Amino acid sequence: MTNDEERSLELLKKIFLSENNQKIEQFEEEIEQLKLQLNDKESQISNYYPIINELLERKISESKEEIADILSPVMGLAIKKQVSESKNDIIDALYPVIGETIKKSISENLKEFYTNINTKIENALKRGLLKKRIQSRISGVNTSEIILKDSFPCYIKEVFLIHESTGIMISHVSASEEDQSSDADLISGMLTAIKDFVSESFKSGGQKEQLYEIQYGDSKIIIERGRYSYFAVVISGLENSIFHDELDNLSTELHKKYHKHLREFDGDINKFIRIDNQIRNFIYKINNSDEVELDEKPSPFLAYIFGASLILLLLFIGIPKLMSEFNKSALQDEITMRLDNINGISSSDIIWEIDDTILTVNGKVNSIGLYQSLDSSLKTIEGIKIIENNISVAISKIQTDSLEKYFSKLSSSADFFGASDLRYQIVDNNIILDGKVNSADQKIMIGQRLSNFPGVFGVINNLTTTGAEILSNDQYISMIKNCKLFFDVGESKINTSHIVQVEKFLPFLVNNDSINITVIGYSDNRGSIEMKKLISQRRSESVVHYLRSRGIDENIITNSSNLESNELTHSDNQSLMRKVDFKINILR
Amino acid sequence: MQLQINTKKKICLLGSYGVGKTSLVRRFVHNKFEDKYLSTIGVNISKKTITLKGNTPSDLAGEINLFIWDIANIVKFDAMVTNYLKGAHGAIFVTDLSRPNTNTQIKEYVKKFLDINPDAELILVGNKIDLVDKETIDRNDFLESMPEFKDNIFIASAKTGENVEELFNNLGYRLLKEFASE
Repeated sequence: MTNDEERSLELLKKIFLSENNQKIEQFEEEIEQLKLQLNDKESQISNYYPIINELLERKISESKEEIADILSPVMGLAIKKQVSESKNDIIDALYPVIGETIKKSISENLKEFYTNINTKIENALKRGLLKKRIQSRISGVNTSEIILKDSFPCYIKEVFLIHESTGIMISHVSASEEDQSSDADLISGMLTAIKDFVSESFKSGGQKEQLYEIQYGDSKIIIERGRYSYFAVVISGLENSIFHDELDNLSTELHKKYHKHLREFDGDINKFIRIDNQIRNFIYKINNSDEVELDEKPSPFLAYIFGASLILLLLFIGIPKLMSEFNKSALQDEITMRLDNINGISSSDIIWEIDDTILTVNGKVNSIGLYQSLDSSLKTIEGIKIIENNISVAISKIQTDSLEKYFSKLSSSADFFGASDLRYQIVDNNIILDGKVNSADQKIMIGQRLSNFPGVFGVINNLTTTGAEILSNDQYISMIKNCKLFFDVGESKINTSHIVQVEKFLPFLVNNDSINITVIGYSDNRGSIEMKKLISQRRSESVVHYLRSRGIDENIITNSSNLESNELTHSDNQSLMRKVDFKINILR
Repeated sequence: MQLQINTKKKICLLGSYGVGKTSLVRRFVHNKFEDKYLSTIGVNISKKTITLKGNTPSDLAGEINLFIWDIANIVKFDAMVTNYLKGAHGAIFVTDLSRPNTNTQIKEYVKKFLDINPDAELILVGNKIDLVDKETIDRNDFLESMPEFKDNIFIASAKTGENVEELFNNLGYRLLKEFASE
């Protein structure tokens, strides 16, 4: 091809292909742009974001669980890794959020708390602000304190009565099923162990510290100690003086009524069955009392005015009624004590009630002796005019093994010191008793005790008395000096089993005008000085009264009480401190 | 006449460390055993009710609730230990048959326990019989060295459960005999 032909061909190409070439260049340019776009992630995200978002939304709404199954392992691992690798970063990131959440939560709860307090106080104020102010004036207690106690009333959730030394639960009563603890028996045991642990571990000024309360959550356990048992009372709110007074009364009443069973506790809780009702009453009284009592002693001036007004009121209106209530309460105490003092019977075995001066007694005893003891004891109670005795006697066969043990214990007891050759036979529910005793009192006492044994119809008492031993003056003086009469807690009545000791030296006192004896009463070292003085005095008076009743000349007896010597005695021997002893003064 | 009773009795477990006191209680109360040794701190209290169907030696029926005070190894008989023991109606003294030296303290434990509870019923238990050759255990050896237990000696294993229920039941029934004669 010539040059001209080539030029023509080029020209023709240009004419015919120029449009195509332009298109090719344009395509190339577009491809370059697309390549750039594909490599630019930002623009890819902005392009696909709406589509992916829509797709994901659709997929999640169609099958949430499937998505969760797919993502959770991945997400879990990723989160775990992230947390372990950069804890501090996460803390920094979450701190402001969590801080804010906590702040918000606290502030909301505080608001609720303030609202509750305000409502309670408003309610308390509505219920007689004037009355509370008067109470405050009389008592000297701040009005706000009274209002506070009224705002958070004491609510008893449950009460445990626990035997002191064994930790065995005697009774458990709760206010409702919701408040009931699951295993009251084990709680009682552990409470006892904790209480013992505290008293042995913590001492103040050489004295054992006692556990009085345990706080947990918004509740607390109040411990009220008695001699042989203690109460553990679970409460919420603030306890007031009604609570303490009622609890104290309940404790005293139970110990008075059941002290014998509590002291000789053998694990038989059937003897305490009626306690539940008394505890239930106590819970009811406290949980339903909306009055606030005052804890502090009244301020003197207003208290005197109040007291004087009360006395005037009593003089004109209330004395007959009050006296009647007082007498009734004294009678009830006397009956309980009489029943408890009969061996083989307890106040809980017998049901009784008083209507004015009529005493109705129901129940069952298992020996004629018990029936007679009961009957004669009740007949001598002052203030009772008619006794409706519905006691039945259910005589079973005498358990010979038990009687053997009982007799052996009885004949070796201190009450029958000096007795010899004591023996018995059983003939048709009767006991024939033989042997020698020191005095007529011993003879009567042993016969009486055997007649009270279950199944015994009667006792043929063939015991002989050896008569009083003739002793020298020095021996009598030594006997008097060594004589100690012990008393139960709070008791000032001379114990019948101790009378034998006194009887032995009575002839010496009757026939000897050259001596003078001082009867000295003591108390244990618990309680206030006034109370100790009073009980010591009563004990010595009780013995003096007995000596006079036995013909001892008033001039040779002086009574006295001693507080100081007991203060020095070790606190473990409380029972040995409650006594009366004698001091002899030779006159010439 | 059959007497219906419902009574509660406190019993104490005493013995050197690691003799298996807690394991015996666990086996008796929960019928479980663990090889792992965990020392008891202070005292551990458990409850188990034995139901009587009139087939006891005293022909009693009803329930006896045993409160078992498992007391940690006693280093010294101080006031705290005395408090834990007081009021007990019975006691189980435990020795480890695979460690004869655990017998040595029992006499002192018994004396101190009886000083506090003179009328209580006692039982001696040689525990861990599964670890020793039964033929080598002579019950009379125990009896001679500790006559105060009379016939109340049990060879037991908390691990296999051998004689565990029997020894607790024996003590329970003896406490009832006392109850019946009152």
